[in-house]
Amino acid sequence: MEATIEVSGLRKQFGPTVALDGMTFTVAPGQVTGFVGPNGAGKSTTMRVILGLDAADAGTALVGGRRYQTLRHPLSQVGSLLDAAALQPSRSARNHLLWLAHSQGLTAKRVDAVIEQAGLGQAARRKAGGYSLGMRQRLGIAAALLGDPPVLMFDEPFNGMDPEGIVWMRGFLRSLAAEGRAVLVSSHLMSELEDGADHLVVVGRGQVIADTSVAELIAAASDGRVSLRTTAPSDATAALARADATVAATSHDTLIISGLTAGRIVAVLNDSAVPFSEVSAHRATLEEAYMELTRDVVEYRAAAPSGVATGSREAAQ
Amino acid sequence: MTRALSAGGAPLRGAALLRGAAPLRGATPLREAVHAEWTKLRTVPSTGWLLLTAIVLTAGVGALTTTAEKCPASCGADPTKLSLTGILPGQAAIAVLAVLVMTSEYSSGMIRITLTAVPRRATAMAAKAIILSGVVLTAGTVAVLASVLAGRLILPGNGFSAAHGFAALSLGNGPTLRAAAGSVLYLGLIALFSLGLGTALRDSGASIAVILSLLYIVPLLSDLGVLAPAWKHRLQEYGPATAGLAIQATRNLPKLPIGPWPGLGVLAAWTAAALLAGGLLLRLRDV
Amino acid sequence: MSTGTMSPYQSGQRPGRDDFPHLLRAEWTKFRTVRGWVIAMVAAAVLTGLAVVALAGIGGGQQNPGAHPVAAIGPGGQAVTDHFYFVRQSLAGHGSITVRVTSLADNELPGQGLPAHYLPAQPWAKAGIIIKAGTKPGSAYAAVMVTPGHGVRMQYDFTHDAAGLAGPVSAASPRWLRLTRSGDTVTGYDSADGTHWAEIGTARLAGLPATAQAGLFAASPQYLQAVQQFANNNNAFYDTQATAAFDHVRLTGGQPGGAWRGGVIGFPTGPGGQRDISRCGPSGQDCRKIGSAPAARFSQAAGRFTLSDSGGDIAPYITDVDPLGLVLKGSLIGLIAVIALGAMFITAEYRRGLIRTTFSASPRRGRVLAAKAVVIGSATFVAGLVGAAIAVPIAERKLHAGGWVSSVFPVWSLTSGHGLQIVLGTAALLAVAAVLALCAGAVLRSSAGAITAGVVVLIVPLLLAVVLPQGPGDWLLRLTPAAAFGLQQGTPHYSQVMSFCQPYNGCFPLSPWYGFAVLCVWAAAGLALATYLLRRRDA
Repeated sequence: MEATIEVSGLRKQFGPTVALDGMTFTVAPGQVTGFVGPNGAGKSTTMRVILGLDAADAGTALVGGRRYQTLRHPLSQVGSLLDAAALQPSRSARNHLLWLAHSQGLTAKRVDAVIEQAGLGQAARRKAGGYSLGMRQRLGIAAALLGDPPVLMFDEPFNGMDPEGIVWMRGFLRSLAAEGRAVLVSSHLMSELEDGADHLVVVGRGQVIADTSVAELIAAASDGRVSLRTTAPSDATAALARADATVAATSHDTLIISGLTAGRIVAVLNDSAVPFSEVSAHRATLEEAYMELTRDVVEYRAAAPSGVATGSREAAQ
Repeated sequence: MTRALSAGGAPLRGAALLRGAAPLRGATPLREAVHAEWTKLRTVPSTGWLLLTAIVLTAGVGALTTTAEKCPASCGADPTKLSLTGILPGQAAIAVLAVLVMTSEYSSGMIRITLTAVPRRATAMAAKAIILSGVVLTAGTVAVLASVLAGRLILPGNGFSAAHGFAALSLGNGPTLRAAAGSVLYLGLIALFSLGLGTALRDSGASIAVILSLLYIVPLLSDLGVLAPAWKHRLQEYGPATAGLAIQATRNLPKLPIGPWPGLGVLAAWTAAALLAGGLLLRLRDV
Repeated sequence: MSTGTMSPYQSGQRPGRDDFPHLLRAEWTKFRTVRGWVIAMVAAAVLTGLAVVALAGIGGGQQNPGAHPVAAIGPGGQAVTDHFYFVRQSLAGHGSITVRVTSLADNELPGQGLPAHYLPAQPWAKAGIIIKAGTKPGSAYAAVMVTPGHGVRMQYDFTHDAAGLAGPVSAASPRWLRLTRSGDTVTGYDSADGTHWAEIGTARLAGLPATAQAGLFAASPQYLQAVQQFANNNNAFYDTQATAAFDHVRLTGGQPGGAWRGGVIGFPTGPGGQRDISRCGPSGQDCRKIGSAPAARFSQAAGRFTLSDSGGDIAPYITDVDPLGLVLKGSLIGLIAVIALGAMFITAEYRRGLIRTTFSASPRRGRVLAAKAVVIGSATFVAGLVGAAIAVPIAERKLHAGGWVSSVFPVWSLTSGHGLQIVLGTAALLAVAAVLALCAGAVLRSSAGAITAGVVVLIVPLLLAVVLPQGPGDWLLRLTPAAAFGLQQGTPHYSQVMSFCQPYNGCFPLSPWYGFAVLCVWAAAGLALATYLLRRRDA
């Protein structure tokens, strides 16, 4: 059985609001898949549909080729963390994990193991109501790992984490993927996934805008552009413009040039005697790539879906 | 693909594999869901407090009532019913417990985790119903036995003696046994009724308000000296609490608006309707 | 430009000084912007109204023997008991009558099994002098009398009662009584010695004819003993007999040579208000009492008069059932909604942590609670007032149409004192109950717990009071906030008439406003406890 999540053509409406509009993607094993998009893009709804909590109006969501509701011990197939605060405050963390374990036919031994793994330690015997947000996240992760599942799904796991926690979480997600699991992590901040994800599913308005590897996405956003540092940006701009390049200033001494190769730029600048200190291939940040992709979705919410389709084509190359 | 390594990744499904008869495909077994619900129920302190409250209220108010009721000469009182009066206030604690079993999961959002672990909603609800019934029937048995014992000890001193035609309360007496066992069943049905209503309404405040209206206001209104007899009869015959408590009567049975077992049957019908409505809504709605 | 002297930023917003009105506004905004709460509040009012009207619609007056008594009708249009032994002469125009009463004995008629410790049997037995428009039962009258339990009284036209000299009458401590008539005005006096007279009161008897009847009378109402057993009511009636001795009888303005004539006025009414023909001939005269009641009830010798009566009374006819008060219990359905709203008004904030926002906006927690109480109390009061003001007149009309005669079960106008008491009382009861539930919510911080607590103290006592024996039942209705439901009593109570007061029939041991005070004390205690805990506990 292939450990994957397959989402195909999901549609769902809440009253007049379209939450999912043909959501389709697949999560492959052995890598961390980032599930990104602006707030309200349909990430959480998709996850709830995968888990059988919400019913889609159309389309299917399969885990390991089966509907979630038909799984015999679902937590041994999919571990998930949707809302870390969803706990009954008067129950201790250990007892919370214990009832979950019992629902899957697991024992207290397994509970203690995941408590160790998530780093909860002695705090597990305290009431969960007194936990900090970070502790609740760890408890949620412990619950997700309980069934030692091949598929893991985390909704905004970085929320409320301190920088140290974010670094730990990235490493943790990677190690889970390295064991061969399929890991789906949603976020509305691309920067959180910068070094964490291998693959990205970018969504907006209930649809997939881009389904690509991180490297491809950055390359597409960089798109052969060259970064130039110079003490005379206006002279450089004038000279390069004469050579039919497109120039954009990003700071008082940095220009981004497209339409010319790096060697040609050096030649043009030397010919015009413009001083410069550095010429390099421009590497877009993931954040920039993401902003470019989702700009249409965010800015033109009222526009026709063609805007999204355009975005999709751009992302494809 | 490789499945490996993470701590404790040992053969976790051994138990499931041993159950050869169980189909490999298919939903979470009810047995495991029940186990989970039992763990859930016993690991919040409110369960114990509410059950204790139910027992203390039932036995305590029962004992107070039997202490207050005198039978100087002949009297028409029903000593069994009298000593089981405490069910009236005690059932409130049971109803609260039963409502919270479902609604507290909605208020905290934990219902999503529950239904992620047990995706078959009918199984999840059945597990809750089974555990709740077990717990309530046990606590109800304790409460009812304590009430009957109190009545047995107190009533003879208040004139409910052999001289006035009353035998001491004893479970060896058929009608008394029926009343006592029926009162325990009554509490169990009230719990399931509350669970069904709580599942349908999802909000603890609204559910409690509706249940307490049915448990207290309908009997109160049906007891008023002003109603036309036909209506009084109707309310007592079809109200869940008034009909259900007919099970406690041991005297003047022909004069009751509804007989003991048919009365409990009416409550059972209410319970079935509430469970059905709750179950259907749980199945149809998003969480 | 120097940055070293930069002045700290000051908020451009200048709130007013007194923050309580702002708190009120904030809490009101919180309340009205949750659509479910507003709907629930409107539903509470509508449900209250509907339940009350529906109960009135199925309130079976036709089947209730007390709903349409054959009692006499008094001058005010109300049903009255007007049955007594009367020794009379005609009195034309002006005049007066004076007597000395030297004894009044009131005993149980033998053989009925009334326990001895209940004697004197009837504190409201009466004997004295009376000026009455005629011998027709229900006609206007004014009387001054002695009683075994309540001293000298002046009563007129059935409902009016004023106290004169206190203490019982005896040969050693006789009472002098006097009534003077001038036109349609009758004035009553009493005196301990026959020389020093004190006026008790003045009655204007509308339509008093030129020739009225004046004389001596005696009446001894039945003794009532209410026995509420386990959901089962056994009410016992015991006949008592009053015997009074008079002397120094002096009538001025009578017809010259007039002789004293004795006779029975009216007929006794049974518990259901029916003419009790087992004791009385159809003419209403020559009643033969049961037991060993003497046939001869009047003797006159050497200026001494002795009168006795059994089973009579001159008083408003009252019944033990209070249909309006009972159908107003329909407001319990609204009450549950109101309890839920009051509790959730604060527990909803705890559930999602909104309470922290509230307390950081207004750190003085006691004032926040006070503002919440004012808002939920006022909103409930208005809703309850509208619901009750619409439902009560409709319910009264339905009850009337259903057979509850208005001579016994008055139809109160909304502007009458009693009508206002019922409508305002219902609204106030709901409002204070909402505040109590709010306090329970603040203390328990869980809506389930707070709502249950509210129901247990406000509603369960009503049910237990009906089920329990009357002693503990009455104490429940004195001590728990359920006492406030006395505000909804619809039939008037007269202290001079002994009546059953049973929760089963909607009667409360405390007077209405005392009962309301009990609820208010609970609410005040709740507010104090909630304020203390809010300050002490972390939010």
